[in-house]
Amino acid sequence: MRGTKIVLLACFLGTLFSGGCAWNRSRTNISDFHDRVEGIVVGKTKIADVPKLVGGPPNNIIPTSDGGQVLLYTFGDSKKNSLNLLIVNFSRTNVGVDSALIIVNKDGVVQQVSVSENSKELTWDYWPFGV
Amino acid sequence: MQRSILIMFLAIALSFSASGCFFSRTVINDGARNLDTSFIEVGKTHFREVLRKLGAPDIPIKDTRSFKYSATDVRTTGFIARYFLWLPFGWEESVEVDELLIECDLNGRVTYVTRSRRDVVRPPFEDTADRAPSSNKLSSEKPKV
Repeated sequence: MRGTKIVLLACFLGTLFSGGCAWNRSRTNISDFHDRVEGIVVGKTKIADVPKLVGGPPNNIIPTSDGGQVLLYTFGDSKKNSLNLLIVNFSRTNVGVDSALIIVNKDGVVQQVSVSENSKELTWDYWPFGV
Repeated sequence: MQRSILIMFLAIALSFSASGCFFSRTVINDGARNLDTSFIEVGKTHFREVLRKLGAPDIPIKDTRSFKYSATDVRTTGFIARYFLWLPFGWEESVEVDELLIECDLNGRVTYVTRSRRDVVRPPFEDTADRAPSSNKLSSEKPKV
């Protein structure tokens, strides 16, 4: 009878504290944009070549006052790590939303490439506390 | 023996249906928290230099006259009853913990730099009244006389 109680208790505690981990990842638009954009050569690459190099057309084109254009690309990454126990659950989601601005002059030549790096080294974390 | 099985079944059923709590946090663009803007000279610095040093700003970008960089922190606490229902007890605080706005004139020169920093708390364990006061810093071009 005592053995049965121990088994019962072990089952109960095991069920109570067992759980699992979960990892979720979602990427938005072009996933390896940071690598692809390195193919653009400032001062040489033409506007027509940009979509071929980065893998798609821009999300938006903004005209500039000097007759040039700014090609806007947006992309991002999200990593969620969860530790799910039966009575308590911890999860943390790190999101990196990035944009790339490719400035082209009035002759259609790329003058500058600026890419944010919020999603470049996104980490997996599960602890939701702290700074 | 039948009683033991019944107790075991009840114990497992109880633990599966027992309510629990969850703590979650979402951090968006954490890297935007510590951008160094000391190089910006209002009235002199061009937006291209801003982009070169700070990288591309947040979306949406409508023109080349204003750029915003922000980091957001969302902390959520709640109670759940497994598999059956969500209890109506959940608290969430979502704050743009660091917000940087750079505005430029038609020639692309920086005219305003505004930066706000705020603290996020985790309700209901931390009171919003205890939040540290937000800091706001504004640099603007001297008005022309």
